[in-house]
Amino acid sequence: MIRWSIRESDTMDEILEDAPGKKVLLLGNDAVVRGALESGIRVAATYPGTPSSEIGNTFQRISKEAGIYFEFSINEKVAFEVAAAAAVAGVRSFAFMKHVGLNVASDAFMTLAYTGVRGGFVVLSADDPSCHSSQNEQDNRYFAKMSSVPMLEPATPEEARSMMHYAFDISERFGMPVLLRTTTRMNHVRGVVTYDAVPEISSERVHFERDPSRFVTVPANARTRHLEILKLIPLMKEESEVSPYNKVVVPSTANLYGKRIGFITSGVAFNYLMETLESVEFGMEARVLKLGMTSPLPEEAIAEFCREQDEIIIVEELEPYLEEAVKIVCKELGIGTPVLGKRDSHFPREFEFNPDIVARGIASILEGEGMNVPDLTIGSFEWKDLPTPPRPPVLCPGCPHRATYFAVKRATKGKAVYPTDIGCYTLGIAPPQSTGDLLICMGSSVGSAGGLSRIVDEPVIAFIGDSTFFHSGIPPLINAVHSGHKFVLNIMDNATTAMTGHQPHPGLPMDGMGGIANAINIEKLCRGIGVEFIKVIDPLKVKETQKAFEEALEHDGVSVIITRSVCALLWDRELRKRGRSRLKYTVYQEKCKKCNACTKTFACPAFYKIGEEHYIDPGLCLGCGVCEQVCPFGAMGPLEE
Amino acid sequence: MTFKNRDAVTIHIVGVGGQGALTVSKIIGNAALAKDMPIVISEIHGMAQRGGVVQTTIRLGETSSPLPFSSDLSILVGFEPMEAYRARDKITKDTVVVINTDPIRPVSVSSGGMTYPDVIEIISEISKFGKAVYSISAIDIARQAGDLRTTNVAMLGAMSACNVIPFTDEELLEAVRSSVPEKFIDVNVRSLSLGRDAVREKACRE
Repeated sequence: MIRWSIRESDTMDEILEDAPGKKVLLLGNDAVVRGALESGIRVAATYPGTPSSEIGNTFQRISKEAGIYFEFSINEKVAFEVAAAAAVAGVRSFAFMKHVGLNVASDAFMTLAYTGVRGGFVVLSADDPSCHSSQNEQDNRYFAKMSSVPMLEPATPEEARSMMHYAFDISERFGMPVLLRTTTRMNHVRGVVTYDAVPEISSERVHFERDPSRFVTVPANARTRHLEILKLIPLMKEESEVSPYNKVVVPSTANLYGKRIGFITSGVAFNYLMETLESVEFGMEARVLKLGMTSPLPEEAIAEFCREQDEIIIVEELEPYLEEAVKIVCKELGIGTPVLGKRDSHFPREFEFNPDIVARGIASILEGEGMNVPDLTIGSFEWKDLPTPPRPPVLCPGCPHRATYFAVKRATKGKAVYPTDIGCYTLGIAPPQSTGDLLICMGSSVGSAGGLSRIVDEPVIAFIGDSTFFHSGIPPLINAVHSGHKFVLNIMDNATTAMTGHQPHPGLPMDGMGGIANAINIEKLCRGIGVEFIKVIDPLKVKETQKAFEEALEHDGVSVIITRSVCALLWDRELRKRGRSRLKYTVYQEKCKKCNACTKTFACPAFYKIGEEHYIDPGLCLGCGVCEQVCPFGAMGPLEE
Repeated sequence: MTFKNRDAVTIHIVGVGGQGALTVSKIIGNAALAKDMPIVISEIHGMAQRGGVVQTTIRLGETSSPLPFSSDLSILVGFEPMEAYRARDKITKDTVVVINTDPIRPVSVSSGGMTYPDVIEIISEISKFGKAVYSISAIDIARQAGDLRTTNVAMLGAMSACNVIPFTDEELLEAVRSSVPEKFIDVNVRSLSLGRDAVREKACRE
């Protein structure tokens, strides 16, 4: 077993520096960490998920030195509960996750809104318009509306840093958790931020003041608490009316004369709108109401703004969250100013925006009103149609998952249904592996395998990674044992949370702060819940792996195969640190029959062809040695030194 | 009609995961910070490590948005030739293009039987429309510099020779020094200046 060293991260530990006024170029996610440090948090927890992953990686690096307790929790719900409890006890704490992670934590989130908190508590949701690295692009602003939790939406890294201060402030003033809703183009943007001071963090334990009528949500208490929250809403709305983050902005150039058009926007859409209004002369007088606090909305400020304009245009990504609210305000107060946005299809409801989309949306509205608008068509050149074959992400050279899939395909002879899960191994959907038939969310491979196994006419083999198994694969496995489902569960244990950047998980002997942790043994866990067929194998040994799957398919009941082999990237990185590397492999040209079995059934990215001849790129080969077992003619093997 | 932010320089880098585009954007970031020039960098690094496409947009000067108008690109930097061609729609008559001529073949080519485009043809196509096109073999330059891992800084050198990026040679040199680990400074500085010289020589000949 190799010993993990903490991953070197993106920025220097400049992030801890107590240097007020210092200007630093920070990734949005690191600006959030900085804001949390400046706010004096004591507890932070997460489950890694892009686009929020770097927040956790930075805490992993600095929390010990900063005197913060930080953990990579087993899943987002637990992360939320760990951090929320600290805030209930009275200290500032922070939970962060990707947008779909908040679905996992939503049970706790919705009811914590009833109990509230005593120390400041901020929950960050990193939404992902355009699904850059996600299974959906849901708009989590509705979680604020659904829960009555106040919400802030930063447009830039600097705003995110300063909003963290404000978020903790209002969280403590109202005794409510605060949702900081970000999107990929804030999380993954680097911008200049200006440091504030970092306070000393106390390490003294706090006394838990009992208040069960508030914090124990039995029905009688829950009813009372709901009334309390409803009473809070007008107070929070008053705050929103005067919030420094809700303000009218006047574009600095262009669009200063003509019809008075008011824009209402939030989050990163503000950036695209300003770029548009400052670059394109539409012939209007533009005012922008930039909303940073978007729940509760400042309805009076919105009404006042709408009254002063000839027309309102709402510019927001994803759902018409602001648009619906503004329309209700205008309707209720009898404000006749037309409100336009995406409900009338001027702006798209899908994917992230950019200045082109915003300009086209504005133009389509103005054109419909008979105004002359600048020509926004982009003059394109007549490019020659050269081939540009796709470059999708693929399983790395040396990846144990590729070897596993190869063996599985041999064992099933192609006859099986493959529910899969979220992680690198999802890339097995691509040919020639083609081992992904159903994927909904974290852990769905195991639950859905149960349903499939009762209905379909082929065997079912479900794939789940080690970290995802801990996250949400255990309850459905218990369900499968209890219900007597018959399928094979392949737990692909590469000893890390690879896809999000190699974070630890409960199966590893290290914690989120670099300390030693208790590792949970997956096979013992499976045995403990009553799985009768359990095999642990090294997937880089193809024949043994194939045989294990063949036997598992014969088993009457749920069977678990743990394919255990360290992530190829980690393995390679650790060897390099020691100045070593694995053996490289090559093609013995004299033995090669040019049958293409290697490229057609295994397709390691290190393979390439010149004419009909096969080669292995020694710069890419990580020496897993599986190709030697794939080639039917013994034409692949170690490169002689 | 095209739209441009009058005050900003926009750099768009395309390449493949692992080529070091992020480091280049950090070096440019440090150069900007050193002279208090506004900068915003936008990255898409979803699955880059798994051989996917990497895209970085850098905007220098007064801007409101990390993403520019599509018609507002000062310089397109292709760390990989086919990726440069894939990004061709971003090229305007005012866009300078710098291309690394060393292909990285995707699996769709190496195992999938698809055809990789001809690099010479990519360059000649792009030179029909862009303001100017410069191509270098970053691997050759990095090899000359003494470390194959400095192809990214060779490309930074090449792009700095195009009179688009608002930094002097000295400012970039200082930014490289402050951005890379101590023991790799010399080799990176060599790669930077070799990359720059390669483009300047070509520009002189034209």
